[in-house]
Amino acid sequence: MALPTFPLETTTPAQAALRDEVRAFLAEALSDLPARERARSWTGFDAGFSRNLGERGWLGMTLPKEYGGHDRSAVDRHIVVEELLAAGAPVAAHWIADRQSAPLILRHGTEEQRRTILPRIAAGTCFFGIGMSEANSGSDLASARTRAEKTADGYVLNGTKLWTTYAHKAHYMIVFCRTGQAESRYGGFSQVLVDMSLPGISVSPVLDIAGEHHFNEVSFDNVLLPPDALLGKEGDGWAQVMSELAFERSGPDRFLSSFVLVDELLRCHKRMPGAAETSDLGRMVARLMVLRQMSLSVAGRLARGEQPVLAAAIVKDLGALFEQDVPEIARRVLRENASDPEYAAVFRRILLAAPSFSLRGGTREILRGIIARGLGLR
Amino acid sequence: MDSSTYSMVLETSEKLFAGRGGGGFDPALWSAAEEAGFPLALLSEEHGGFGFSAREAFAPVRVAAACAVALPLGETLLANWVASQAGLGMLDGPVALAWSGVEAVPFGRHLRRVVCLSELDRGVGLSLLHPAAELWHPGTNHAGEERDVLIAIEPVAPQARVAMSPVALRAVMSTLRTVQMAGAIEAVADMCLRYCNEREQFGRPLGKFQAIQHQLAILATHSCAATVAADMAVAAFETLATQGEEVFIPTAAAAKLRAAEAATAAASIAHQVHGAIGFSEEYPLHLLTRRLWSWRDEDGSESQWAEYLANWAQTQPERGLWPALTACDLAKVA
Ligand SMILES: Cc1cc2nc3c(=O)[nH]c(=O)nc-3n(C[C@H](O)[C@H](O)[C@H](O)COP(=O)(O)OP(=O)(O)OC[C@H]3O[C@@H](n4cnc5c(N)ncnc54)[C@H](O)[C@@H]3O)c2cc1C
Repeated sequence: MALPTFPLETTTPAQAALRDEVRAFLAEALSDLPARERARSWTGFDAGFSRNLGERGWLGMTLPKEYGGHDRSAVDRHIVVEELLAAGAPVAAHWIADRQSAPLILRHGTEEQRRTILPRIAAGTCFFGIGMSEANSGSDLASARTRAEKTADGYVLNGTKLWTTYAHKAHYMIVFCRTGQAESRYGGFSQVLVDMSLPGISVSPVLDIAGEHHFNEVSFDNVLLPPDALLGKEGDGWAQVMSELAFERSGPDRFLSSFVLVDELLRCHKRMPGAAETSDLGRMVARLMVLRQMSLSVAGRLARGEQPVLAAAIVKDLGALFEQDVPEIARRVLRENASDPEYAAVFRRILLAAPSFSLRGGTREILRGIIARGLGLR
Repeated sequence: MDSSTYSMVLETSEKLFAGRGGGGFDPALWSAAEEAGFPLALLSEEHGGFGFSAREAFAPVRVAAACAVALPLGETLLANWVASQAGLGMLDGPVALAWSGVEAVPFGRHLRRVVCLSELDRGVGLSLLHPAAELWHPGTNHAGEERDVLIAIEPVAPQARVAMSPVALRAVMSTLRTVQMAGAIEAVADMCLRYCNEREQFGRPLGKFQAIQHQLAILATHSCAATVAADMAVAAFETLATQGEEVFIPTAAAAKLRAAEAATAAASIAHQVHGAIGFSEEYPLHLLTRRLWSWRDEDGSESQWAEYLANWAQTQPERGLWPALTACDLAKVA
């Protein structure tokens, strides 16, 4: 059978020390940030905080030193990321760049692109947006219509991307678009690196169900791109975007989005041994403990140079279910207690964010399709 | 990374147990397992074992469960491990641990002896019993595996003790069920995949329907989680001596709970995708699902372990749950 393996990772003393160091830093740095703000998880934006992390060497950790990185393993990075998320640190500014754009540029970029961009990502001063989805192209990404037309001096980009997280703060967007005639459904696509300060780009906010602004609509109206805006090979966009999604899907951000609520719940809940809700809590902790080891195992496989696509999809599917169950468990456990104002604010924040957990980064149904393919059913 | 011993143990157990499941206790198969050294695998060489790692020693248990083989293999493995901790020496199997009181003893009537456990002020007391056949009150679990109650025994003073908390020992015993569940769930997933690739309705194999694909995908996620849970518990058991009960107990509790949750989901999906044939006695699915329904509540019910873990999470000091979780991570042994 084709079930993936999840070999357990063990932690070295150096890794344990790294964890302690990050934790001590965060205890200090976040001491004034209330739980309701920490509950934003990886949508909390603070450029100063990101720069601070960069100075400490905790961004671009897996990038080579020559590009401003730190030559650390994917497991070391995983440990730092886990601590950031568990503490509810405001990581949104650098999140996409550090998680997926940097590895994409390292793998497919030109030497020039690597030298100019990667050190800034590692410093926490260069932010990215993901330009995949469009109004009529969500799960079915291959139906994307945004197009970069080749000209004598580069490309002309036209089209509209939707749901682009933090496009309004990003320095660059990596836009998935058509560059050629499609000989097949997945052919004729490329990725282009778009400098967001170029003329012809308009970014307009789209508010979420809580009235928050994080994602956007981004229109490109005859945006002139230089020839070196091409990222990777022309026509290879589909394969590139799929490997980018593997980075996007594998991390602890896929099961820790509601961790601040777990903490708040434990703070407010008065122990009542024997009560039915006690076993809800126990089961929640059990799921979290196993998810942590599964996700860490995926990091270990990445560190060994493997591409654990199926394993990552499995962790993301289980992780999203967990994140979404947390507010429901909290409701059952704290029957009448919404009286603590901080708890109530955290609860509402997570409740209203929860639907997105199984949409962003590939929907539940798409992930299950990937798993089914891995099982040989498709 | 897995050792060559591990692959060898796996291969030997697969050869031994494949196709031998479904029946009751089989003395010939027990002898073969003994000959392979499985029941003593946790003992060090000086105690008459092979000095296997816990992962290697539990591998035959997982395979036996996947094959629905009814043998007190894990029971004998653990009874010998406890006995050696207490300096009692090697015990001929089959033998099982049992808490004094009225709890049902796995495979009771087939056991050569029982290691009777009692809670002491500090540690657990052990006494060896050789109950006569007529003292067993026969019973079974949902899968028809013997779960016999020992009647009318006089309380015996402990002959030996292990310096281990009773809850830690309960967690050790629950780890056996966790490993068994992981093995059986993987076998269930395997059976479902094969069936859905073969069985056709509406002119296509069932596995071509998206609704079925998604059910099988969910089953796969649970199987992976259960396997990781079992690996976690076994690895924490391995480091009991170095990392201590503080790491082992919550890890084993979480593992048992997670495997139990997976067992419930796996059995439900498996019966659904199999249709009526899976509900028939002739088809081997129930050999696994009925075991899963039993094991999830044996050696500590799901609710008991859930309560334990909830209590553990809530009694963590000031810094909260997270540091307690990371403190359970496995340390690399030098
Ligand atoms: C908070 C948030 C942030 C986001 N940030 C970004 C970003 O920065 N950049 C970006 O490019 N995108 C972003 N997205 C978009 C995200 O990638 C898409 O929402 C996602 O890919 C799904 O596309 P859709 O919303 O168009 O839904 P659709 O594809 O229309 O799907 C609607 C429903 O139909 C189901 N469905 C679709 N196809 C199938 C099928 N073949 N079989 C079964 N069911 C199917 C889906 O699973 C879903 O349940 C973000 C989304 C959210 C919620």
